[in-house]
Amino acid sequence: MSDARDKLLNYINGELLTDPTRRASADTPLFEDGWIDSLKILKLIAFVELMTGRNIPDEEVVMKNFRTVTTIAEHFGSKP
Amino acid sequence: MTQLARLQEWVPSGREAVLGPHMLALIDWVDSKFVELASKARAHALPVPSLIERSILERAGYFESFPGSTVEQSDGGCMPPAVCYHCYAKLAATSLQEPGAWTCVARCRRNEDNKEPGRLRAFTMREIVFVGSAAWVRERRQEWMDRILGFAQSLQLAVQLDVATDSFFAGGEARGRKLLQQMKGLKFELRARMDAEGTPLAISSFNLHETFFSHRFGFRLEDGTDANSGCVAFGLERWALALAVTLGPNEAFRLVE
Repeated sequence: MSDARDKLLNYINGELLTDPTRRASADTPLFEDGWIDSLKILKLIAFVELMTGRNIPDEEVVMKNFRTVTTIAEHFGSKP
Repeated sequence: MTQLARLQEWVPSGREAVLGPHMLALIDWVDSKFVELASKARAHALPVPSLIERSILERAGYFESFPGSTVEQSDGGCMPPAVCYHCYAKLAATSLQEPGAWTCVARCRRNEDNKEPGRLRAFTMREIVFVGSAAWVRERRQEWMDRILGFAQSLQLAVQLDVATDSFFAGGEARGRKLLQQMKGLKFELRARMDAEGTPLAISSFNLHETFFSHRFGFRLEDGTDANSGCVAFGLERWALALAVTLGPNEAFRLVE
């Protein structure tokens, strides 16, 4: 899980967040204060799909699974 | 609905319907109830024209949000796809001294690819728009959800509130908007159960826009912070249809007396 979490943090801070003053930690709420917009959410989903090797249906894109890097890693990192 | 057609009160005609006098009176009655509720909530009545300038829809991002959707144009402007756009145009480039609410009503038109009974191309929409801080707007939306759920149940409608997304979002970035809408619970719909099979009809929606429209139209709070907005929308023909189908025409039409 920590491997998935590290990959996600590297991607989000290195590629996704274009504002250099913003750096996410594992428990930063990603969907507050405009951190993730409508383009970035698609990029984030594509990255998680690439990381896990499976498609993510829209029904799984809910706050419970995507609130923070930790929750994404916990939900998707442990699934084949 | 068969009974309503037989009574000449709701006669489907393509993607529209021809309504009889009792249905029209029921629409007026249900709207009067929303006006009462809006007045109690200190919403300002905002008279609006029947057409809307295309430039307002462009500024509101309508064609980006709903790519592929078309609006009907005539000499004086477009048929509005929703009435609340008038409100954001009215607030453009202002600084609000305090949070506020406005209500307006208009005939609207959408070319939706949805054959759900009751989803007409041309319909009447009343909306209540509220503008203030994020927390204030969220609280108002919750109040309105509770208020309208109670109102619907008092009329014996079998209703439920569900998280929803705009059904006519297309692909590309619009999918991202739809997913954000779903994830953040920005849209709820009040759905009435229309038959024994549980066929739902969305009769109201309760929406948070965050700062989308205030950025587009340049309205802020007096302290300089970004204004948030939200709205409640009532599809008046759908409310009347849900009442007439659920209660039966006779009982529903007696509400007006």
